[in-house]
Amino acid sequence: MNCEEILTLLDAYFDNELDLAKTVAIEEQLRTCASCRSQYELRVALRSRLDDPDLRYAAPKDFADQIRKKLALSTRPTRKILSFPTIAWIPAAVAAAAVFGAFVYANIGRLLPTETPSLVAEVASDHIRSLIGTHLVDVESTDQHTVKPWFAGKVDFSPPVRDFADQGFKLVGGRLDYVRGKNVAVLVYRFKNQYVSLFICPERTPEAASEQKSFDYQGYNLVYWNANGLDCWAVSEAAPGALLEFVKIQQEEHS
Amino acid sequence: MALLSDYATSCGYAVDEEKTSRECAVMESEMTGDKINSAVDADQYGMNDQCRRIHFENQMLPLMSEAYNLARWMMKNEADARDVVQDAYLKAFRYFESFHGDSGRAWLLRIVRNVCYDALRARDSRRNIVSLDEETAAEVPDSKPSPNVLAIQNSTKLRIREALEALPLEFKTVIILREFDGFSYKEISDIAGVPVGTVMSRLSRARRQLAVLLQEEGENE
Repeated sequence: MNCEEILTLLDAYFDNELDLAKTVAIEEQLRTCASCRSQYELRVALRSRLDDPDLRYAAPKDFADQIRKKLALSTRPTRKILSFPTIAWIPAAVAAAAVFGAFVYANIGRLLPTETPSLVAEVASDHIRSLIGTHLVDVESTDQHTVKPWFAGKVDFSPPVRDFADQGFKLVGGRLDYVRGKNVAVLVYRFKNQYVSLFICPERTPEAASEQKSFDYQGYNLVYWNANGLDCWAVSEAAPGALLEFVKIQQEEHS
Repeated sequence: MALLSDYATSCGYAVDEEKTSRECAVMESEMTGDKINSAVDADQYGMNDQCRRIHFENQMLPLMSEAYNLARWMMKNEADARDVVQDAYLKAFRYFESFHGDSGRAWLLRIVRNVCYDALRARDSRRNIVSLDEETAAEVPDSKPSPNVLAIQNSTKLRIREALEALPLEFKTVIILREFDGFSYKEISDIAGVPVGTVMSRLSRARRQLAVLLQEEGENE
């Protein structure tokens, strides 16, 4: 091979992309030809200068979170437009609705709770709104002795406030929110790059279930539980596992 | 708030969602690592939207720094790079089922590169710049004295950065993919959508041009 041919293969040799026969040929040439060797050395020098973390651009802080949020928003169910075949079913649907309506009327007492608009949606929406707008917290503090008294006079109970920074859930602050038209206390925690909203309000009836329940709503995870007469909802875009861990920590604290 | 608990106990689909949520957590813990490498496997698990998203995030979000670095070099500013990477992730998520390969890295960066090109075309058409072709780039002049190793070794970080910045887009891209990310020629050819031979010649020309640029800057000092 002459120098020109060598030069066309030199980069492939330098990048370990050549087969053995050509590799041997190039190595032979590099031993004997100063001009080819200097071309090779240029590449070595370039690579060593490019091997520098400072030349790489680091992603902005919280960027992964932003992407997560966008992805969560993109998985929201989209509203379907009625197509012709759908329209054809409408009379049947109306008839079915009439039968169902009669059934509901006859059983109204038993069915009423499920007829209420989704509380899961309401609690999740409050959380989502707090992330989108500027109303993440009303009182920003990692100090429970600042956050707890802040709620005095704003809600008619005293929410338990604790920072769990050492378990990964750092108290960010508190805010006042509305659920079903009533004031509820919300504690905001930060877990890695995500936020957890903990909604707390006194349970409204003694027969409320104390069972823990998990839900997901438009990519957000929710856990409901009842502790010491308080209804609690934890909401976050964090993974279900992380959220359950958070709930466990809260429950251990209160029990 | 009692309604909350009523809702929790009485609503049929809520129970289903709870189940899904739990399955999802289990699935997520199983899926970290390389246990599930393709969406085909994922389908066997009957994943719903949310699990699909968690699976996607586990696989693709760790690659964000490479995705961002490539976009940032190609777009030349932070704001555009952010937009591009976000768009690329949304697009990748949409087409996640079509990913069957074993290199998620190459797959994602290919999308990032394509979104960068779309964005650059849109940007340049606003400014009436026509072509992104490497052909429009200045060729390495033959008359120049051959670059020497010392000029490269003595270049400051700033100069290296500027020289890389000054490379035509296609050259810059292959250098980043090869030197920063360590991709093979085959992978670069997949990412850039050009034959392996073209990858090789682009890399060769890119390196020569970089050497010349560093040499010139050294002389201008």
